[in-house]
Amino acid sequence: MYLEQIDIMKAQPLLQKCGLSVPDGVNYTAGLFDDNGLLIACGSLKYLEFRHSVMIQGIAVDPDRQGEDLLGKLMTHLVEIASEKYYLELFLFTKPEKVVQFQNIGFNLVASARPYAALMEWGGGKLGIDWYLDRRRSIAKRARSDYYHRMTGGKSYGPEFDPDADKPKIARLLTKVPYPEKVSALVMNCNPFTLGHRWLIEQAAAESDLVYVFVVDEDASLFDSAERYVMVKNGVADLKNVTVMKGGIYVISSLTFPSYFTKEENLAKAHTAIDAEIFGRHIAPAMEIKRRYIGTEPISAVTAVYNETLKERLPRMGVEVVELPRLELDGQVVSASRVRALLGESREPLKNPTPELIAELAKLVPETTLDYLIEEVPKYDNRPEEY
Amino acid sequence: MIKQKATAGTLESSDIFVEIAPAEAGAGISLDLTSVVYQQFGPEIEAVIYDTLKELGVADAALTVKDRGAVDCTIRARIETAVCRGKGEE
Repeated sequence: MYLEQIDIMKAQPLLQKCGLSVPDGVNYTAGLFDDNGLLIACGSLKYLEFRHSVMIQGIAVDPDRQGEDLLGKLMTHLVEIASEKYYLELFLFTKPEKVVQFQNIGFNLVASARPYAALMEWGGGKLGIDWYLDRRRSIAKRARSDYYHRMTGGKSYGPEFDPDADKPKIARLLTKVPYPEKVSALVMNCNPFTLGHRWLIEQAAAESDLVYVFVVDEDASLFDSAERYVMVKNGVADLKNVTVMKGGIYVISSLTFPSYFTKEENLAKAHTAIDAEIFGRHIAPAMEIKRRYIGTEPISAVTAVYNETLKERLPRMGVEVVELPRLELDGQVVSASRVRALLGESREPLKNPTPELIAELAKLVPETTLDYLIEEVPKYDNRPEEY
Repeated sequence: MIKQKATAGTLESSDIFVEIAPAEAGAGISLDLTSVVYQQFGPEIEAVIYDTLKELGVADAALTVKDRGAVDCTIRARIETAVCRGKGEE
């Protein structure tokens, strides 16, 4: 029995035998052969460079050779290869019914979206889901304390923070402030931030005690993650109950949701389901989120599938989904793609734009975004505390 | 001193897989242990790992350990190998 690197196409018959499709964009494929040179197990690695992470996928063991612990041999090799490559976290996509096998090998389950797929992670105490949720909890805790501060006229940061909260006067003050029960969330790409995004957030803010906006944290869009985050943060600075944060790796990223960036509709079902499960089972409870606001999707097929999946899965996990019609202008929805078209799909700040173009843009984006699009703006650093 | 990331052992049944990485001086040992027999033997496995590291004079390191029911001598051997590789002695 021996292991060697093979071409992914060589693994196709085995993958097919196991009911798997050939994963695309993989960087490394290993094959395990028996003494007769027959391929009996295979698996692939995909390097998520931007995340400094590695994804294991396309793992197949010949159904006629089960029970020989071939999976253990194969996975040892793949983990060693991944470990040589510098990574922060190691992930694995598999079928929900295979989860137990990988748990035995030491992978932890992040989310299982029956019947499509399950996401697991190695969890070397680095950037796994536990670390991520700790960050979400502290962001939520700070948002709640700011809420108490506003509601008590700047007198108290609430029972979670104020060491003097049990002093009778402050305690009486706090009993008049109801606990922030109505907590909502939005997940947005904002490429760039438009009046349409602003309108959705305003609706959520008006109906909620607290609102969390997760800005998709991936550099696959015209505007990079840091730019989009700054645009949203500046664009809603006046809405005091809104907290903007980067979505990180567990909210619509190339990890949980590769199809958003590759636009393949069939895969979209599986990936949207994983994304919804992570949000509903982990993020919503950690941040006490009760509602998720989404905009209707008339254009993008993948986003339409995503909305359907959210409406189907989130209510089961105690998160209400509120779908709002998109803001319209001249009979067309205000969308980021319209803005990008006006900008000529270029990210460079406009030099000497015509007054007509500025007027046209001003109809679609708030002033904060307009400033950003027109003037030369220095690059903002990735502020880790808001990650 | 652990100088580089290193692995030892396998993910096969009755074995243990050890991944060791450098840590800053004074950081101590951080151990992330997953075991199929954690319920029954978790503290014992941890004790063997800490003892072995102490014997080898490793004070600062980050370990990720995946156990599939290895016996104590296997655990010791795998830790020793990982430490040797981590020190660049192999």
